[in-house]
Amino acid sequence: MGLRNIVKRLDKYQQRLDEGKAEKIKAHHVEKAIEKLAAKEVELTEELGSAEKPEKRARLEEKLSTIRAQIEKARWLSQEI
Amino acid sequence: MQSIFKRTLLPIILGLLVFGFWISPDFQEIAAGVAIFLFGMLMLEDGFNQFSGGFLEKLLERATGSTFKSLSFGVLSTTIMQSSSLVSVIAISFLSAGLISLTAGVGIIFGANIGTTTGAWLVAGFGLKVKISAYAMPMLAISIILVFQKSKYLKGIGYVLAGLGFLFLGIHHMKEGFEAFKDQFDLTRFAMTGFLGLMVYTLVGAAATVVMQSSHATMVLIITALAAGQISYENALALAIGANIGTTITAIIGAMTANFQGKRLALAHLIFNVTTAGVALILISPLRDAVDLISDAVGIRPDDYALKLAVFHTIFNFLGVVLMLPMMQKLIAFLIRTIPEITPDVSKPRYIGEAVAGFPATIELALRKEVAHLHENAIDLILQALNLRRDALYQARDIEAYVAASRTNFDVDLEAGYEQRIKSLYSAILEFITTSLAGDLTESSVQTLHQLRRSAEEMVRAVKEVKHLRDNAARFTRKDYGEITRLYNRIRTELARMIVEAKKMADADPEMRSSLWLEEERVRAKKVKAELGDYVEGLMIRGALKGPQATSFLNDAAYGYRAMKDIIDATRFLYSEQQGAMAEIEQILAADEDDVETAGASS
Repeated sequence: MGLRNIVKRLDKYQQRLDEGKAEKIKAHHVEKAIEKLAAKEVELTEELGSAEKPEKRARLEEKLSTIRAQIEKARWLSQEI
Repeated sequence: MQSIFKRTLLPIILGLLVFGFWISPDFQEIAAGVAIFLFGMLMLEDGFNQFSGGFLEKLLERATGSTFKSLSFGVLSTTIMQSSSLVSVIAISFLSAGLISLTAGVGIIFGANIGTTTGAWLVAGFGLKVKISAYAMPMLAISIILVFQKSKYLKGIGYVLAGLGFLFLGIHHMKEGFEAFKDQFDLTRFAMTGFLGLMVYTLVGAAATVVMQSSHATMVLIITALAAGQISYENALALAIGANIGTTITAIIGAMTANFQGKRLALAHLIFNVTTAGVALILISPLRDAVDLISDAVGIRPDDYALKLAVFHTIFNFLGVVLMLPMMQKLIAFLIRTIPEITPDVSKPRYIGEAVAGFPATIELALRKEVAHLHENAIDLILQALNLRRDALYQARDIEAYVAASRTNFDVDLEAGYEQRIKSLYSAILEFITTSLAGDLTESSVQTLHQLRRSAEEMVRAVKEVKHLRDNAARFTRKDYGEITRLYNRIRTELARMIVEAKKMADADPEMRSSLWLEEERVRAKKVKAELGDYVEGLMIRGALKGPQATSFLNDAAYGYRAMKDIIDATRFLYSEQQGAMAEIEQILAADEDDVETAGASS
């Protein structure tokens, strides 16, 4: 999941914002979204710490990587807005 | 009997009005004043509804912390909205939707009875002393400009201003009407003294309030008639007591369609107001003395009966609260005993119904709870179909091991379970959404309702998908048949994992929950499908799985994949941010179907 489709979705949002059909995203909104993702990251890290089965560890690592990617994207969004 | 009464009541009222108009043109002005006043109250209600999804409902939701808080909320909201009936109906609606506790609801009702006394002060202290129509006209002129604005908040302010303007205008016309009326008729001829007078005028006050559905309107009528010398002070006191009894009718009507909690609150309202009225009637003499004493102390003229009536109205409502507050817990225990909770029928809606249909925020919150209820039923049925126990699954540290060990076939009639626990509830949800969409909702509320409908739809679909794979999954996991058992256990395990993730979302702190937490599950469902396809192909090449069995499994794997996807999507739609900037962020950051497809295929 690269940034290409996110850019498209952001463009659509900007368009709806210009038309008065969307609410303006402010920095504190993105911070809140990052806070929620970070809370999940902490939870998953703790779970990973106590996981023993290699399959379970692999699954948790994948989940962690997805959440971290989401956080990165949210930070990028924060710059864009 | 009831229908005959209903059918004849309207013609009788209309007939009396026409007769009144015929014998006195001034009566027309009084009746028009009442009508304008009630119209003003409707506009006030419309105005406050514009702030729905925010202001009132959020305040009401938070007014559950303590008895003092809920009492204060009742006082404040009734003072602002100038309608204790409306506040009572909203409280019943929120209680029915499970958003506030019964104790909080009773506190609000107590508070509303104090808040309603501000109306009498407004009329007696302000409405009769100044030329109130002088305020009404500019208010109405400004309000109409605001009503035509695009912003819903400006529109709301416009409606509130118009509401107040019409309230003032209504009071003005009632005042003028009574002033002119007294030259033609002397209603004091009908004044009654003693116990009989008390009883008769209490009943008249109650009946007038039942007809007008507003104790405020009755009080305004009483005060203006009293100020014009058309009724005696004694009879006005009894009429005010009667108005307090009659006002409970709105809450009783509101509770007819509410659940047991709403009915309990309506009963609490009735008990409170009837008890207060009873005490006021018994203590009428000492109360009159107290009114005189207080009036002297605050400088109210001895012959200013309108203000004295406002003092009386305030004293007896305060007295009611003072008397009932120490007995609040006993009252609640009595309500719980008298109207017991019916054992929840999982197939019936618990939160949605006509009682919550009047207010946009209640509609959304109650519907969200009802969809969560449908999810619960659906997950229960899916787990039974997979021969898994809910509690054991949620406690399992190793889901794969728990699933592999769960071999006992549950004796479950899926078809009957679907009909009883899913279909009827789903139908009720759809019906509620359709009815609500036909009402006056904001665009964001409409979007929320559509999203919740999708959530319900996806979860129902998940049940149907699982129904398809149930037979084979049960047959091949009863004992170890080798590869085919491992394959079906994989589907069961992955479905169980999705269900556990959905449960984690449901249990998470609503302030910290994000639908973005489920992004990995969306990709994972896709990956599982691809992995199983590859694995089965390998087994066929090695001859470990025969053609028909492989085809049959791949069909079931497709059902399993769709069920996983449906469960995750249903959960996302239920818990995602649905309005405002946070919803925009989730929409931008969440993968679309193309993203999921690419990520699932590339891993």
